Parts: sequence; C-alpha cells; structure tokens
Amino acid sequence: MTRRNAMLALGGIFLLGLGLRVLALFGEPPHHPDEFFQYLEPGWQRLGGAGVETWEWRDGLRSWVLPGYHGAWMALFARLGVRDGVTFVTLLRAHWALLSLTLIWAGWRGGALLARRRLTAKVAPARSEEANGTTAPAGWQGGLLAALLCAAFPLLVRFSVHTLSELPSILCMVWALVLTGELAEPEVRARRAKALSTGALLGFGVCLRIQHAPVALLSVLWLLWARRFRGLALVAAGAALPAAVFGIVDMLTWGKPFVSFIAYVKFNFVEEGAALFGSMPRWWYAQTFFSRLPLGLPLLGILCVLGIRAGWPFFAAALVLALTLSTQAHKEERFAMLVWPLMLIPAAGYAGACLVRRVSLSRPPGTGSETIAPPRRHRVWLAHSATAAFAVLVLADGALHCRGNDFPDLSPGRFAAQAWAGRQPGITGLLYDEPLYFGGYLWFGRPFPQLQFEPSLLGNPLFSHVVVPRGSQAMYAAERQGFAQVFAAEDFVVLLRQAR
Amino acid sequence: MAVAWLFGLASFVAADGHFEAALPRQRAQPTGIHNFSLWELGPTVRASSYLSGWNEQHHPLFLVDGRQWPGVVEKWASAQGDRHPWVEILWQKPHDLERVVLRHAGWRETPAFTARRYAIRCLTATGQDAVVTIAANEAAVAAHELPCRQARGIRLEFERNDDDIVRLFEVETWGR
Repeated sequence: MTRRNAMLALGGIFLLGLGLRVLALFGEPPHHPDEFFQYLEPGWQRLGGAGVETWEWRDGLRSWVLPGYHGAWMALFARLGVRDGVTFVTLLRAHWALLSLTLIWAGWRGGALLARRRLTAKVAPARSEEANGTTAPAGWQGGLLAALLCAAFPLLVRFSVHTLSELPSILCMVWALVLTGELAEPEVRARRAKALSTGALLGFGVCLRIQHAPVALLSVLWLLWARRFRGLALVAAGAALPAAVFGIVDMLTWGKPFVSFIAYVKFNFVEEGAALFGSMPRWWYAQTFFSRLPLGLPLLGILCVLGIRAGWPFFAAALVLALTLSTQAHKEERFAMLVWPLMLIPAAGYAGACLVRRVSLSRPPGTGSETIAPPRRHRVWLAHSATAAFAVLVLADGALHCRGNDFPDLSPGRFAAQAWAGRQPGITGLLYDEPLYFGGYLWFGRPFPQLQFEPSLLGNPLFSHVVVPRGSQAMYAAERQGFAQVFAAEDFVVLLRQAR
Repeated sequence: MAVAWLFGLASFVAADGHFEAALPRQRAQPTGIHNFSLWELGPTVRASSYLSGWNEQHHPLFLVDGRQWPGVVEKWASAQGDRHPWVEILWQKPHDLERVVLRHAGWRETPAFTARRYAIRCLTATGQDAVVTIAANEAAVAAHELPCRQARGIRLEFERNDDDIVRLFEVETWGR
C-alpha cells in the first residue's frame, strides 16, 4: 500500500471515530457523579460562588489541576457569552471527545510499531523505500487495525465524553507507552524530544491517576530492556515537569506541595478508605471485562499471548494494572478502562503482522512485487477475511455489551428534568430526590438553592420547583402542598409551586 | 487556542469565589415601613462563601426567605476556610433604612453559635456609609438601629467565634 492510501484509510478511521464520538456526546448518559462533583463543580463554584462541595474537597484530597483546567475553559466560555449550564458541560464533553481522537493516532503508531517488531527484515519494506515517502510505513496493517479499534471500540467511545480524570490519564499513558516503544527501536529520530515527551506524558498520567502508575513502571522496564539508559534519564527529567506543576498547584491552593496527593494515597491505599464506598470480590474486574466482551476478550487474550514477544509491554501493563486494581477492595469499571487500549493495540499489532506475513508468503519468491499467483490468492483472501472478522467480532461484541455503568441511578431523565427546571425564568429554588444523581449547580445553571427533598422544606417559599420520580411519595407530598406537574422526562416529573 | 485558554485561566485564577444571586421580584414594594430585603421583593444577595455540602447547603438566599420556623439547614453558614465572612444584601431601588434585625443561630440552635462580633455597613451611592459595630452580641434576635437615607444595601462583616464558622438565619432591613 502506498503511504497516501494508508493516510486516506487512517483519515477515514478518524472520521468514523469523530462520528461515533458525536453520537456519544448527545446520547451517552453520565457515567459517574464524580464527573460533575470532582472535576467540574469546584471550578464552577470558584467562578460563580454556588456549588456543591464534596468531602474530598473539604478534606483536601483533590488536586486543583484538572478542575482548574476545566475552570479556565468555563471562564473563557462565560466571556464568550455562554450562560446555560448544560452548554458548559456539553462544550467540555466535546473538548474531551476531540482530545480522545488522539488515541486513534496512538493506536495507529502503536499497532504499526508492534506489527513491525514482529516482522522480519525480509517482510518489512526497506527503510529507504519508506523514507522516500511512497510506501506506507512498515506494519501499517497493524497500525490501521489498532487505529480502527481505538476509534470504534464502544466502551472507549462511550468513555471519551466523560469529564473524569481517567480519560486524560489514559491518553497520556497509552501515548507514553507508544513513544517508549519507538524509543526502544534501533533507528529513532528526535530521540531527546521523544524521551522528554514520554516522561511528561507519564508524569501527567500518573499525577492525574496514581492507579495508572504500573503502566509507567512497564515503560521504564521497556527502556531498561532495550538498554536505553540515556533515554530513561531524559524520561525521568520529562516526568519532573508535571510533578512540579502538581506540586506547585497544591502549594498555592492547599498550602503545601503534594499535600492533596499524599492525602489521597493515604486515604485510598494506606487506610483503604475507598472501601467505605463498597467492596467487591477480587475477580470483579475479570468478570466485568468478560461481561463487556464475552466472545472478543478470549480472542484478544490469545492474540496478545501469541504476539507477546513484540507486544509484551502493552499486554503486561494491562495485566499488571488489572491485577493491581483487583487488590483494592473498592472497584469501579472506570478505574480499569485503560486496560482496553492496552489489549486492543497489541492484539491488532499481532493480527496486522500475521496479515503481512501471510500475504508476503503468498508472493512468488524473489519477486517482491504485488503479483500473487492464483492458487495463493485464496490464502491472501482468507488472511484479509480473518483480520476483518477479528475487527468485526471485537467491535460487534463490544457494541452488544456496552450498555450500563456502575451507577444505573444516573438517569438521563433526572438530568433532563433538572436542566429544564434550571431554564425556567421564575425559578428560585429546587428540591430533588437524590443530590448525588443530579448534575450539581453547573448543570442546574442557576445560583438558587438546591436541596434534597424533605416535606418540611416545601414550606420554604424559595423552593419553587421539585424534581422527583413519578408516583413517588415525594411527588404526592408536593402535590398536597400546592405543587403541580409542569414537565416530565422519562420517570421523573418537575412540579411547580402554584401559589406561594 | 492555547492563548485563549490562558486568558480563561487568568480569569479563573482572578475569581475570588464569592457568591452572588439576584432574585426575581414577585410583587410590588409596599408603601409603608416594611422589610425590603424579603426574597419576593427581588433583592440581590452576595456572600464571601457558604457551607455547601450535599445535604448541608446553607445557602445565602436563606437569609431573605422570611421563614418564621426554619429548619437548621435553612440558614446561611460561611465555609470552613473563610477567615473573613461577609454578606451583602442589595435592593432594586434605594430605601430609607431605619433598623436591621438579625436572626442569629441562637434563634433556632445553641446560643454558642450566635455571632458575637460583627459590623453592619449601610451602602449608599455617595459612599458616605453609616456603620454600626457590635463587639459582644448575646441576643439571638438582634435589632440594630441604623438610620441611613437612600441606602442601596447593607454589608455585614463578621469576626468568627474562635475558629468557628458564622451562622445566620435571617436578615431583615426595615424602613421605607
């Protein structure tokens, strides 16, 4: 394949990824309360004064880096005239969806890299051919396949629009591992810049999600294995920058460098405080992975094992991450989302390498041309079909089992009802059934009080609206106090006070 | 894009996190002596901060809700980290202020929560603001004479009781 055709195919995959993310932007329900209360609401509260402060923020367990990053965008949007809370959230979700497209590029480079690592010199195109720009990069088959999986794997598409710390960390860690692999290659251009970038990405990835640290260890191990000691030193230097950023931000906001990081580690790992939010069995992640990809996961696992010689750092990172997370009592699916690209990329790399090998073995010896003898065309066709079948199986299996998340109570109806109430000109206060499952003050878009429903609060004239489940005791209590239904979304109703 | 984001970051860092909300006016102003901070007359409430946990939204607008029998959540409380709590209530048009009534925490909770040291400043367009300073308040419902013509609003500045937060149920401003 020519480089131009490979780039066209990659462009098509980008467009597919973009289209799917646009669908996710408008169809994906909230995944976790944290995406509002930990990473958006603090920034919103700083800008407008109204917000919900969770215990993590009261006790200083969170860094201001990510909420500050979101807050800067909010301040900019506000200057540009955005006033509606839902618009703020949609813009931020779109921003992350766009950034998540970089995962496709990482998949392309990672898949090609791993396919190339498996190929012998005979099979791979000559470097000179590649360098003159006419031929697609060696291992392009693995690259395109990995890019396709990263673009369209349903869980990754769904996850790409959530304002959680996992997503930026996933992007950083996958990119860091791909760049590490490129650093370990014998011929690398711009090694210093690549090593510093790798370090910066690892640093940001770990600072954003300490749980992803095992992936950083694999990156280090890979460089040691490849005897890239100077590169490793540069990686360490690069990692110092994000560490310094997080330390300085903590000093400016909490009074001491790294104090939120230390408090977070102490609470979650030393005191195992996260277990307060639920304990799951050790095999919970394995069960969850199988439930998400019952047919495709064994196939992914087999391909990763078969391609272990080239793709071990990715597959080992996935395994070590899953095992490390399994040792923690409290488990959530989002914690382990990084496992998916770490398995998809090496599996695609191996499948791409197999395809190259099958096609090249089918060529008449010594020709090096695209001409394939008729009896062997069948084998080539089979190889292409098997590769396509692998991609279709993984994507279709993923699509069939991608619904639901850890918080089924995060109903789109609740959010729609709250947003509708927030847009009413006469609103002065809102009572709702469960604060945890709403979108906070940012989604509400108004600075008026929001409180959990209590019958006694119906007597406070500030509370003009109530959002509760249809047919609930709260709904009947509100109706008895003179409220009447004015809006409904799924199982939720908005009631308006008829007379003060 | 990066420059635009940096501009946003500068605005974000410059924000001090104070609260502000303007209530829509529900009815016309009475002509006689009345409490012109009442919520239905459309005051604007500003506050340095408020205690804002999920189930403990001690929202500043509770200061003007006019409730006679509020629950303990229906009061303003400053945030834990707020060293210099303040509240402002601004009116849609100037009024001749006569007195300010504060319903402190002791009105519905333990007297120990009642704010002891605070100042009430009358805000006017001329900047010639009348001030009353209270150094040792014990009253759960404290009435303070503060004659002030053409007042735009009032500002309350508190000194915390030791390191405790400030709690206040209601602010009433009487005059015409």
